[in-house]
Amino acid sequence: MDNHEETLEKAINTIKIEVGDQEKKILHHQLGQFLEWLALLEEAETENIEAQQLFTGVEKIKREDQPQESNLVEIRKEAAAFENGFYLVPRIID
Amino acid sequence: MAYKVVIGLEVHVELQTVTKLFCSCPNSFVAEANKHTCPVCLGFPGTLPRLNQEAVKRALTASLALNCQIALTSYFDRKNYFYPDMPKGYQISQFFVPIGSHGYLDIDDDQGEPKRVRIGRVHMEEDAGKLVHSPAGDRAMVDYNRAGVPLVEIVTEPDLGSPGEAKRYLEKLKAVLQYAAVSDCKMEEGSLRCDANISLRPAGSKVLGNKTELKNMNSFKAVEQSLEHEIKRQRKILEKGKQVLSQTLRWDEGSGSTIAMRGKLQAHDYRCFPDPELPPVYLTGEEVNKAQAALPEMAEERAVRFVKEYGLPVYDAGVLTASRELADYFESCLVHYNKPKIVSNWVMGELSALLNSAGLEINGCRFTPEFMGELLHMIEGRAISGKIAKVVLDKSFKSGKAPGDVVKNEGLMQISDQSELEMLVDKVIDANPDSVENYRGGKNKAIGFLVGQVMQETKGKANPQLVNELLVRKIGKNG
Amino acid sequence: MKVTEINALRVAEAVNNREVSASSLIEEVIEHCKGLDNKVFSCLATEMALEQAAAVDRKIKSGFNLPLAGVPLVIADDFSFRGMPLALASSALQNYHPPLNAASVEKIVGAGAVVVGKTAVGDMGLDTVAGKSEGGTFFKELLYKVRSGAAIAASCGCILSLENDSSGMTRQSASRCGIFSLRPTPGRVSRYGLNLRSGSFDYPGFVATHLDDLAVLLQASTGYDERDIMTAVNSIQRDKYIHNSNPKEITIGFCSSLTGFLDEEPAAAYEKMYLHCRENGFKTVDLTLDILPEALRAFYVVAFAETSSTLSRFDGIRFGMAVDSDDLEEYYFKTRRLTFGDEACRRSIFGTYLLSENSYERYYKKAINILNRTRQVFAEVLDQCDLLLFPLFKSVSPPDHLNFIQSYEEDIFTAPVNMAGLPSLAFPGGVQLITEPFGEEKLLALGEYFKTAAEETTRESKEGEV
Repeated sequence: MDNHEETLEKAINTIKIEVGDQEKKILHHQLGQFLEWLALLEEAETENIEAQQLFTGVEKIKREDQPQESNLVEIRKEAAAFENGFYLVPRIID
Repeated sequence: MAYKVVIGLEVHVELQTVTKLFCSCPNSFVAEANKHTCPVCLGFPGTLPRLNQEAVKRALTASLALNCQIALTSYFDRKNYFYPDMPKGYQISQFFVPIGSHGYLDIDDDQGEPKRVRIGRVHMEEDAGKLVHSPAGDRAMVDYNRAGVPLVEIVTEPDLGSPGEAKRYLEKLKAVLQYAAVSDCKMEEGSLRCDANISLRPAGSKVLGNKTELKNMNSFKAVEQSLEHEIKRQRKILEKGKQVLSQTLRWDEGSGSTIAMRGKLQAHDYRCFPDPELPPVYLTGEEVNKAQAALPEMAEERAVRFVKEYGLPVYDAGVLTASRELADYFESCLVHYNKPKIVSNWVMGELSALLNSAGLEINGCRFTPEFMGELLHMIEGRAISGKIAKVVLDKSFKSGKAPGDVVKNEGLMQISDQSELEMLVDKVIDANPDSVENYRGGKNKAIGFLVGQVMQETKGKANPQLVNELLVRKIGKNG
Repeated sequence: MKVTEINALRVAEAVNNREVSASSLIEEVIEHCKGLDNKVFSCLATEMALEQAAAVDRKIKSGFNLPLAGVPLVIADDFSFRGMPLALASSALQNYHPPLNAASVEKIVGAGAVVVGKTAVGDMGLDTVAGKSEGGTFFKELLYKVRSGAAIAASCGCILSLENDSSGMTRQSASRCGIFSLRPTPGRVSRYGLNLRSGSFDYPGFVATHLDDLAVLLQASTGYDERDIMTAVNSIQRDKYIHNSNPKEITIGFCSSLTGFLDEEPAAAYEKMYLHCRENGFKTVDLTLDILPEALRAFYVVAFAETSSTLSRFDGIRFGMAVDSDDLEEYYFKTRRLTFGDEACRRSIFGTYLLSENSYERYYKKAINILNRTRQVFAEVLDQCDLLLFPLFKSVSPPDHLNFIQSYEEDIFTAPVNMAGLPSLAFPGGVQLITEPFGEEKLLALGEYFKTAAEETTRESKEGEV
């Protein structure tokens, strides 16, 4: 179980979602349940299976290398912080 | 203690396509920030990537130009990490199967001997946006113009043994990719970027030392300098018996030193997996062969041809083919004036000097091949002297006006009118009796002085051969 | 004519013939929608819808004939459409107005349909909208049992609806509401503008009370869209399916072994369907399909992994609300916390784990192998029959409280089908008809035979309830 705590901590830090201690406990428990549920997966026989593409042939239709304009006003107005032509974020410390 | 230097280079090159890799935004420089953006490259929900086939073509060409094996089926994968310049929170790249692998470039080592630098992989990926720190310093500003621009990443094996080799590798890489019309490879403009990995290995040891990564070099020279600096730094540490810390260092041009970087560059788990929104990249053997055949004549072959076809000395051929654009320029000149050696002299000599002092490359040059032809015809036809021609070239280069116009406007026509010259010659003879005597007395050099005097009178416009002939005739009469 | 009691084709006919105006119809529908439980809709288009209806009327007046003239359409909040927020039940996206239209919706609107509103989805589209039973209207009851807002909205007559059928919940819900749902073959319809929950399995599903309406919806929305590479399949030569209408020459596949997994009611419905086929002269064949439990788990491994990546674009920088901070790290953590609810968090975090270095081979790669095997298995099964009749769910009414794993288990008969990329037509009574890729027309044509049997089953069970 300790293993899962570390795993969970690492995943949370990687995916950058703030999770409170109470929630972490619940997620910890759920991760255990989830991995247990997945045990059946691990037992399945999967040697020598060919990839079955859903996309065959679509790459034949090429996109032309021709520029298109966008409605920048419409796009930019969705930003939480947009000033002087730039999207703003907290400063970055190198 | 002798150390072997082990260097590997990771180069990113912007492909010169019209649109971005996965959307139809223009792929060109624009001053206004966030102008070349659309919902796709900004990662809005509901948008899907749509591959630019031209980019694949260029990536294929680059791979072939670098002697790679081509994967007839390659895939796009997601490299996941968070940074404000990465709109989707992942970069679409080729992690598992790159389009090109097992390639090489041949360079000269420090002793001038040929050396093969192995290229591990060439793969396609999309570029990130740009981060700018705000003037007040309290925020960072993001410009997504560059987000989604097509790149190829070219990674060498750790085969480079010195900063000099690294620099020569980069120069060769640039020439090859320019020749292949894949990219203009301008490090100063960002269309070519280079990170270096370097470690020192004690001579005789089979174990590689810890490597450091160097970033933020803006020129080939900076790459060389930063590596030299890092070798010194690592050597000092090792000689103290300590271990070099594996880290990423930023090259600071101003101080000529490296600074450790933190934050973004901690060990990432990129969690790469195949992008479910993109089909595999399929290439046929035929397409690959076609691209191989279409590879433009590379620098060395062109130099050999210049020697053979134009009878140029090996040295000239080498200089002229160093860049594709210069070689193209030279051959365009020949269309207007078909005397290769003369053209070569002017291109390598006066023109290159002007380009260097103006800090321009040949494709920024206003002195066109037509102008070159015009100029050289004027010299041949004695409309101007060689000396005056240099002046004309300079003025034409700077103003963009045709040489003929320059000559007309500035009255630089060579004076070849017999009677006009005779008058001037007589004048000079009368004014310099001593020199005349000297010449008559057998001092042939004196004629040079007298020619010079006439040239001075005419501000260089007199036809020097004619002047010489006239002087000799007039003076010699009495000798 | 009461708009909520007829079908779309009849509505379009009436509007085209000017028996009734699109404007008056849409007004009526909007009133009707206002009366529904407010959990069903995330947004009603009102003004926009009336404007659109007026535009349709103008077009009809100038002589045009539109296949879906005046037909009301509701779209799940999975689809971007200008003028309405893409809220995705997120605290950060309540005011996010997409600068784009979903291609599928645009096409259907182009055929004359009018978007009346958006039905709610759960947490970033990942969760359901199931609410607590509060008693009262038929719809409040439905909401308790049925997890799809789109299905509920569509179950009142001619209103057509669209929803992201990624795990099959849309089809399950439609069936529970006593109506029909079609998930076309991936590539038939453009996904541009559909918010992807993960990537591999997201796809527009259609819901309607009448089979014919599904056919018109399909026709209106099919076609190449350069913004979705998958639709290029429409441009590639495909064998035109010449469907045989003679039951004696058609083989229906069944999986009798699956009835063991079903509750009494769905098992009975399934068996009834089998008998119905034999009565009508179809050839039948019993087939086995062993892979379902593994396929279901593989589905969720891939879905989780992809979700953790696909949702990374929600960082509050270009769209959506952000939580201001001096520190970039804190900014990310808090902004994303604001954006996501429990299900999105869980999938993002667990998905991250499944893709990490130590787990990649063990879970993700394994799941991909099973995904490929599932496709193979279904292909082998469909080699032996023209159509496969398959259950939709284990029980007609899902239990009151499901934990997250139990809710995934609900998808055991639909998620694997979606994984295999097969078109599926869902009927009332808990049955779906599946066939090989691009066989939608076959499904719809032969669906008529199964419709009656399905409706009988539903009628019986509804009577049983009351």
